[in-house]
Parts: sequence; structure tokens; C-alpha cells
Amino acid sequence: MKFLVSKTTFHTTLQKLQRVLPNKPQLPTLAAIHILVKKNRVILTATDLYLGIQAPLESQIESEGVVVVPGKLLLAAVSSFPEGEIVVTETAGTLNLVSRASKVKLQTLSLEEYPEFPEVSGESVLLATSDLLSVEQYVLPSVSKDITRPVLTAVQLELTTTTFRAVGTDGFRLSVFGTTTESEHAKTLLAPARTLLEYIKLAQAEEVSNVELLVSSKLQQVLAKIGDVLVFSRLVTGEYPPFEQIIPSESTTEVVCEADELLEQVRRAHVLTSGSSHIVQFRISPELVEISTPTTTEGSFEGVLTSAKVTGNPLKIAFNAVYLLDMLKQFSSQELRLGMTEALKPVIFRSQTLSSFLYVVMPFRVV
Amino acid sequence: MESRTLSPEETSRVWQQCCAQLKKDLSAAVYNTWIVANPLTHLEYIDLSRAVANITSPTAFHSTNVKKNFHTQLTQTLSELTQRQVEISYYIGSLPQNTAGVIKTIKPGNNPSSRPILTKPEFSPSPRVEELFSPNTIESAGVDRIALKSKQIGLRTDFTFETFAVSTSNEMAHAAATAVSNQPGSSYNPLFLYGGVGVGKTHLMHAIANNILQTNPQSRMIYCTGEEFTNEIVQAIQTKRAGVFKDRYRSAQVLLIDDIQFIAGKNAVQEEFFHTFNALTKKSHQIVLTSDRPPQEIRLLEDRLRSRFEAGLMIDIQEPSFELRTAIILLKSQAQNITISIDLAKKIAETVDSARRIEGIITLIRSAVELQGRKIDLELIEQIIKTSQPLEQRGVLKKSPSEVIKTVATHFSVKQLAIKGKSRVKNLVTARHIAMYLLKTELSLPLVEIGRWFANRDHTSVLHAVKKIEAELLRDTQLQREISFIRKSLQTT
Repeated sequence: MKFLVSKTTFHTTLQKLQRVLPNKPQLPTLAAIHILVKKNRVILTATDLYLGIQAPLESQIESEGVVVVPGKLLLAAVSSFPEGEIVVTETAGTLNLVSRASKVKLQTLSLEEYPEFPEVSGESVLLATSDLLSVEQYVLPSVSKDITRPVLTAVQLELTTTTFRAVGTDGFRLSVFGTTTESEHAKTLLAPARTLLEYIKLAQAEEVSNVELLVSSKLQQVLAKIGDVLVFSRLVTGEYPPFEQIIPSESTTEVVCEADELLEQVRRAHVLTSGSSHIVQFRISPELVEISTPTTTEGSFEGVLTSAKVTGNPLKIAFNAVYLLDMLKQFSSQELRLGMTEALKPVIFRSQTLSSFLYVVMPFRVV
Repeated sequence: MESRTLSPEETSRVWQQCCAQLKKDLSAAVYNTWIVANPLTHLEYIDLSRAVANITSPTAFHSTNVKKNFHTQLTQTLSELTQRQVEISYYIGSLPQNTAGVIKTIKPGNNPSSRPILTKPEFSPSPRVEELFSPNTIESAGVDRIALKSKQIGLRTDFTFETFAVSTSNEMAHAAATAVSNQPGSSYNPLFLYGGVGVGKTHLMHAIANNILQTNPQSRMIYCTGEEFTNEIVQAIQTKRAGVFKDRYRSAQVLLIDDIQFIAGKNAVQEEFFHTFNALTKKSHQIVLTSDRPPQEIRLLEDRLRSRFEAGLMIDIQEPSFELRTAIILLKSQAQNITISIDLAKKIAETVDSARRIEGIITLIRSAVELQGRKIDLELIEQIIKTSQPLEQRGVLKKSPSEVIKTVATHFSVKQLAIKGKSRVKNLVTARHIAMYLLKTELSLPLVEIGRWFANRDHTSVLHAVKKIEAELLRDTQLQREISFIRKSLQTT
């Protein structure tokens, strides 16, 4: 095997695979990069069995071959090279990287142990990169990181022939982003948050406007084509919670305010909540919206919302400040509507100027 | 020998043995990645020589590679352990021990026994937040949603089957309504309920609608009165939006029209209703109608409509009996959160004959209790009944005593003279007592004067007659019906 490649190209391509190289692999081969030189293509592959990425490497090929080398080491070695051409060759268990003045030899790993990729086939659907960016901005912050409940670590993507909707929740808050699109097939899938993040990064790196997905429900796999890069990922199995049922249908207290002002006040309040589980209390009356924190040994906060307009019943309600901060950023410079019914029932946040997004938060039980 | 599926415990025992064997031959890393992560989830003995097994992997990557690299080893080991030739199938899915989507509540509320507690509370970011998807939240959101929906449709949420008192006079209607609401469109279509004022037609109709919403909150439902239907058509024609109207009504999954008799004689309206009716029944969408009289008695109703109504189930709801009225009083008072003892309820049921007036009286009682702080006793009830009675029943009935006696005589088909006379034939005595009772209760005549009308009887005899009827009224339904009938004919003639 022999090919010539520029250092910059090699390095950027390897970086695309970087995030699927685990730090503590169960098997060394799962932290390795598989290099295949066949016909006129060089293909780099990495997988940790949950996510797999294949990226072509632009290079000048002299002879075919296949090799598996430790991924982090290869990446570090290539990045240490000076700008210019690198000649890559393989001889009896060693991968040689040769530039004008340096030569690096890497021990290769067993080819047999390298895992085989599943063959994914199924109906294809297209996701717009712009929609994926919205998912990152609006939905991913709500997704759970708790691996004991796998379903909540996924984003539910719902494609119909005319609409696209993404839903994320960690059981205490819920984000729903919906827009219109055109799709040939209708599909609902539970994609791990990590997979979506990978799609977004690669779609931006490859500068493509669409990501094509092939979904195999039999294999519970989804194969994404992002430019020339292929991303293999598992889908999450299980039943997504009935989120539509808990979106409040009606509110008896409504607050309209500037999202920025609310964000600033909650941020100030949050400074003093570390001793009180991030509790921020709202006292809502037709004249005034007061924000305060419980008094702890550290101190307390009190403030008012000057931009607030209240309709409906007075209400006392408390939230986890973290849940508000995460989301209020997304509403920046918009007019925000909070719809509430009771102190312990879900609260809905939305904005007229951002109709594609809604956010539901469960309030705190204040003792 | 029949095929036998091993229980999860047995399967897991076999798998543990299998693991133990394979562990010896493999490196720890390989063993953990390719064996432990891909367990045996199903084992079935087909007969004494063959068995089938499922290996479930978390991802397709795992599955592909287990199959490729370990199929022979797994088959061999499992075959040895089960002493059968094992055939392995590979599946992908979540493993049973961490079943996805299980919703757990962080903190038990009022009812800890019915709600599972998360075994590891430290995973909860804030222990004092109820889960968005806890059964409680879902349920209360569902209730809110249904309430909103029924409000939009125009239903009364307190009109449900639970608050509907059932007795012989309305049990057919109740049964049919329940059947319709459980299987809208397929049991009885259309359902046509008819009966007099305040017998519970509207209550049943709302109960059907509310019940359908409970089971299917998404169903498209239209509820209106015959008059509203008429007005909407007129408006639609005026504003040239008849198309919108048609689409709206013909896409309904459940159509409920109260007091349908109102459309009789209005040709354009009947025409439109006829087509709506056909469109809906063709799609077997449920139609429920109520009327104050049966279709054949609705004058000016087009024949084609009449025959369509008659093709469905027609049910007559009778006037509520004394017992039913008592039950209604108890139910309605419960709904308004006031307690009326059964004796007092009977007392009200004696004098009030329409269910609608019962509701009014209970509201009056409640306001007396809440606003004036009064206790519910006989005195209060009597006072309320007296003041709430329609004018003509309040002893200011504009009838002469002779007219009352005449009406009673006609009712019992006896001569007026005989009633006034001295004969002690049984049916004459009953008629005479009823006449005395009515003169006392309806015209509020003094006992002595009543006595004068009946061959100068003593006022004690009159008192005895009135008391006797009052006592019998409590248990004799036949008598109740007769007296109520005579009262009505007195009012109308």
C-alpha cells in the first residue's frame, strides 16, 4: 500500500473521525482507524460500535492495501507533521509516514479483529442542515444525559410528507421544534443526541445543505450521507413518552414579557440559588411579576419584571433556574409568552415571532 | 414432545453457563465486548434433538460482528449445554433489564402505593420536581384537555352518565345512550330520544358526548340545538359561505342535535339536514337527536326525514317517577356539595315533578345554606318549595272549586253529584278524597269550606282525607301519576 497526501487534508479528514475514537476502549481495535486503499480511493473508517464514520481521503494512490492503526496516535502524529506532502506506506506490520525531513513508524493492529460494518438499507429521507441547526439550538439542550433512561437520551424526529418535527425531553422539560418541509417518505425515529450532534458538525464541515438518511428499522440503524462522509448510528429502541398529552392546552394565567429581561433577572437570581437547588420563585399578580430566591445562609435575591403584562389569575410558582436559563437564551430579543394554570402543572413558553418552537417546563414544588 | 420455551430464569441460567465456558477461551476485552453485551434472550426446545435461540445485541454493529466471529463458538457451546442442536437467530433491541420508556415518578404524591419510585433518586436533578410524564401530570393534562374540548363544543361537563339517575322510566334510553357512546356509529344510528320537558334528554345527549370525548379526545364532534342549526344555515346562506357550513357538518364524526323538532316546516333547513344526515350515516358517523315528541308526531316534518329517524333507534323517556325524582335530588345535591337527607329528598320529590325544577330547588337550597347560613331542615325545604312553585300552582290557581271537582270526576269517569254525595263506594271515596286534597293544596280553601262542597261534611273528615292522600302519595306511584295528571289538566283547561 502506498499513497501521497497533503498534511492538511490528512489532518482534517482524520479530525472528522476523531469524535468516535473512545478514550478508554474496551478493545484496542475500537479506538483504531481503518485505512483502505482500493482502486482510486482511500477510505478512513472508525467506529466505537455505537457510531461509525467513513470518510474518503483525497490523495494520490500508488498501490492498494488495507491497514488498522491506533487512531489517536495516528492523529497526533499527522498533526505534528509540518505542512507539505506525506508519503504513506505499509510494510509488514508497520505503517510508515514519511515527509521531507521526518519519518514516523506506527505498529499496526490485527485486521481480523476490526469490526465489520452492518449493511444498512431502507427508505431514504432528507433532513435540511438548517433544520438540524435548529434542533441543536432548541431541542438538544432539553435532551436527557441520564443513560438509565435511553429513550430520553434520544431526539424523536418525526417526518411526514409535509412537516418536520423534533422533540427532546429529560422528563422535566420538553422542547418541540416543528417546521414544514417536503419529504418523500414519512418516518419517525429516535436518534441519539450524540448522533445528531455529529450530523450537525459534519454537515457544517462538509458545507452541505442536506443530510440523507437511510433508515433500517430491522437493524435499528440509520446511515447518514453527509457529502462524501458516511455516518452509521444505532437508533434508540423503546417507546417515546406521550409528550403531546402533557403540552398544556389552556392557561389561566398568562405573562407576556421580554425574554431578555427575564433571562437577565433569572441569571441574577441564579447566582444565589446554589444552596437551594436552583429554586427561583415567581409571584405573579395582575400588577406585578416579582422574582425571588429563598433566603439561605448565602443571601437572597429579589427583583421585578418591568416589561411583564399579566392576564388571568394571580399565581405563585417556582422553577429550576437552570431549566429557564437553558431555554431563555434561545428566545433572545423576542417577546415571550408564559402560559400557566396551577403551581404544580406544566408551564408553556412560546413566542409569537418564533412559532416553530415551544418549551414546556415542570415547576418546582416549593415546600 | 411439544416445543417448550424456557422461562427467563432458565434462559439466563443457560446463558451464564455458556458465558462461563466462553470466558475461558477469550480475552477479557473480547469477552466483554462480544459476549456479555450480546446475551441470550430466548431459548426454545423444539424437541429432544433441536432448539432455537435468540441473541439480542444493542446495535447492528454488535450483531453483525457477533454473528461473523462467534457464531460457531456460540452454537457449539449452547448445543453442548442444552444437549440439542441449537439454531441461533440474531436480533437488535434494547435489553430487558433497562427497558426503555418506563416512566417513573421521582417523588410519590398522595398515593405512594400506586406509583413506582425511582430506585436511584440521585439520578433526579431535583427531587422536588414532579415528572412531566408522571401518570399524574398526564392524567391532569388529559382532563384539562377534555374539559377544554367539551367547553369548545358547548357541552356541560357535569352532564355525565355518573350523574344520571336511572329508573324504569328511562333505563332503556340510558342503556342505548351508553351503547352508542361506547361504540359511536356502529350500535344504534341515529339514536332518537324523545320525551317531555325535563326528563333528561339533554343530559343523556351530553353524557354521550362527554363519554366519547373521554375515550377519544380527538374525535370531531358538533353539538347544537335545532335552532342553532337553523340559524347557522340562514347565516351561511346570507354570507354565501354555505360550503364552509357543509364541510363542517359533513366532516363531523359525531353530530348531536338537541330539539330537532325545531327544523320542522323549514324547507331549506330540512333539505340541508337531510343531506348532512345521509353523508354522516354513509360513513357510519354517529347521529344523536332529541325531540319533545316522536317523529310521527312532529308536524310539517318531511316524510323522508321522518322515515330516516324511524330507521334508527327511537326511545321514549317517560316522566320521572317519585323514586327517580328522589334519586335525582340526591344525585344533584351531591354534585352541588350539599347533603340532603333521604326524607327531605322525598318531601321535595312529592311536590316537584320536573327534573329541571329539582335542579333549581337544589340551587336555591344551596344559596340559602351558603349565603344565609341556614341549616337544611324541613322548614327551609317547605319554604323553598313554596316560593319556587310556579304561580298557578301556588294556590292561586284561577279555578273554582266546582271546576276542580268536575275535573276529578271526569278523570275517574264518575258523576260530579256522586262525588259530592254520600255514597261510600270505593272508587267514589278515592275520587272524593283526591278532590278534597286538591281543593286544599291547590286552592288553599279552608277545611270547613271544603266540607261544605261535599254534602256539608265535617272539617275533620276533610282533614282525614287530605292526610290520607298525603300519606298514600309517599308510596303509591299510581296515585302520584293520577294526581299529577289531574293537576296538569287543571292548569291547561
